[in-house]
Amino acid sequence: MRDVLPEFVSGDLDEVTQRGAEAHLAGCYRCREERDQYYVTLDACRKALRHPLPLEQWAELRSQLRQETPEVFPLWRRAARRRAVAAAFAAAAVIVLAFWRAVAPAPGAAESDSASNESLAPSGFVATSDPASPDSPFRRYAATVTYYYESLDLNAEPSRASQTESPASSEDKKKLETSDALIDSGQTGHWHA
Amino acid sequence: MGTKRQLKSEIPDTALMVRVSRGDGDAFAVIYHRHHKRLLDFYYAMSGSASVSDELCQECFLRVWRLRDRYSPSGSVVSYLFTVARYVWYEQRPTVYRNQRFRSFSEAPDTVCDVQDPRPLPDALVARLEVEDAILSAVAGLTEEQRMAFVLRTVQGLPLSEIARIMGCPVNTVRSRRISALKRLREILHKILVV
Repeated sequence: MRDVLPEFVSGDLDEVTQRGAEAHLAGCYRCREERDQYYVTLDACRKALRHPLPLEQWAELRSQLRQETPEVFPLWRRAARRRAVAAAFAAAAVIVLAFWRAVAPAPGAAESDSASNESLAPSGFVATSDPASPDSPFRRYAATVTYYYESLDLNAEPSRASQTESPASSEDKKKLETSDALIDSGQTGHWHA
Repeated sequence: MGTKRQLKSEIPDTALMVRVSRGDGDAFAVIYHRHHKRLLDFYYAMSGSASVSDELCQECFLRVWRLRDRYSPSGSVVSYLFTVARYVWYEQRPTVYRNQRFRSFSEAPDTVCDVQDPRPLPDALVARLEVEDAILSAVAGLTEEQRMAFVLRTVQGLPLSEIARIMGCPVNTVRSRRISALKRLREILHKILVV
């Protein structure tokens, strides 16, 4: 009976022998004690013969495999590469947006800026963007250019008087008025555009 | 991504190994994650050293990858892995024995007790470590064939027919080796193991 006990505790006996062994064990104290020793031995061995720190070492193995078959185990997998490109685009977008927010004024800042310019400007100066306003820089520029071209007399010989003549003379004032009338009538509309 | 992994976890081992034989690295990764712990336990029981078992487990999977063309789905993947593991063990055994003697009571174990801590260990832990050392020493005292048959049956729980296929011997030979191993271990260990 003792010879079959190792197989009995492992469950490797056939059914008939197993039943016979169980019948014997029911009435034999010494065999039961030996059977229990086998059970304890098996249980202790199952616990002790396990790796104490079964860590995954896939990263090391993969690096070795990459040296042999780099096409199967590439450094950057396709999905990881796509994720990296997407992350780079997202980071670039965030940087551009942050730069835009830092440089561009806030929506309500333009009005506050013009208000502050008015308060800081000297008396008599009105900051305005209306081209039809008499003090508009567009209108002033148009008047100056119109006067300049009208005053040019390419056929006339240059004289000291024409060279020293200031636009503040009465004739020049007429020309300025004429140019103002042209601007008001819209014939120099391209300056207002 | 998670769905992909989940699908791969549901694929049977044989189908995965067929993919591995065609050069599928992802299938090989799944095979590794499923079975590396079994091979670690096998090598730990055979060598008694955690570091040696780590190295041999890596070598075994490297060998599986290198020999992927030769795989034929005739038996279970587990028995195929253990066949390669046995081959690697016999190949690396001289190096293992030359570089590191089998762990014994007098040598400092390389896994748990090599941390120098001045505080006394609890009695229960000391007792457990002593029992583990005694078991490892007793297993080291078996012949290699007995040890392998015992480990594959008792620790890994493989059926005798698969063990016979792995070890390349008849089933009765495996049975007799295992019985001899178990008897020997009981004779040595029953004095220190409390029933």
